[in-house]
Amino acid sequence: MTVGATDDAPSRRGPALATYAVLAALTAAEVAVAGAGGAARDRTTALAGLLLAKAGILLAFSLRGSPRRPGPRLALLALVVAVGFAVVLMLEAVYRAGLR
Amino acid sequence: MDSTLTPTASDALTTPDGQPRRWGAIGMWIFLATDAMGFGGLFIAYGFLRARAATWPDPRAHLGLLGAAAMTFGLLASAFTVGEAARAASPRARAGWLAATLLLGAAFLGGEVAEYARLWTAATPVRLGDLYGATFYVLTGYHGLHVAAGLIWLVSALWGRSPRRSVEVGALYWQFVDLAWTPIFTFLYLVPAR
Repeated sequence: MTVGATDDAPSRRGPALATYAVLAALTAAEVAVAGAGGAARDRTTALAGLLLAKAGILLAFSLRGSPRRPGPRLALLALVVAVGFAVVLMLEAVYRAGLR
Repeated sequence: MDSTLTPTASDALTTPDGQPRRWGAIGMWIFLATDAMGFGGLFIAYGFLRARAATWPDPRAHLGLLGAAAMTFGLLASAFTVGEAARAASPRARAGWLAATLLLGAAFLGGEVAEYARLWTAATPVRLGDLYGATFYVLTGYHGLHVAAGLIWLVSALWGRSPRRSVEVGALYWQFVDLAWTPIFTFLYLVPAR
């Protein structure tokens, strides 16, 4: 994010706007899932997956300032892998619940 | 002894490339780590109480989902504006982005106060005395206090024309407040009753 920021604000505004758009879309998806029919357990699982995705994106957004430094890059990698695993497991759970 | 291998007091104050260390940012990260534990404790308590409760009302029966969604969009937008404020090269641009963040944060807090007023005066009011109301008010209130503290910082940053480094450190705090709201919105407003 902000730590290690540079002066090239306009050139970095695009990714920040794209991040905001993705977060807004995920929030809209959350609201849609909460209002959808189906078992409460399935909706809760889907909401947990969406929450993890949002939290992961927000954390990645907060750490994105110094991609050349190994510390933030490693933290970012760990976040992406952990959130990715969790979201895949959530989606699989929703899929399996749908098959039943 | 080779002096290049001997650490000195000034080494602790500078990075290997000779730049001064960013103690403000380091201090803020330590503060945020401890603050995250506070939120974590509240979330654990909420999850425990909700899982153990015999009944738990459906959030949509009481809470205004669309209003909370609008507040969430506003808070997410404020993470973008505060990030731009931290990156802005000119003081004028920085002040503009900080003012936008201040407006979005104030709108969020206003929305929260309006939600409290609506819940308090509803036909079936949500009170602090029952478990559902207590967990709702404590979690959202704790977060609301963080937003209010952030607004005070934003006003002082605007008033005192804070330098970019100070804004960068403050932006860390604001983005943490944004992050903390994400699970509150999901757990309190969206997760359906069993």
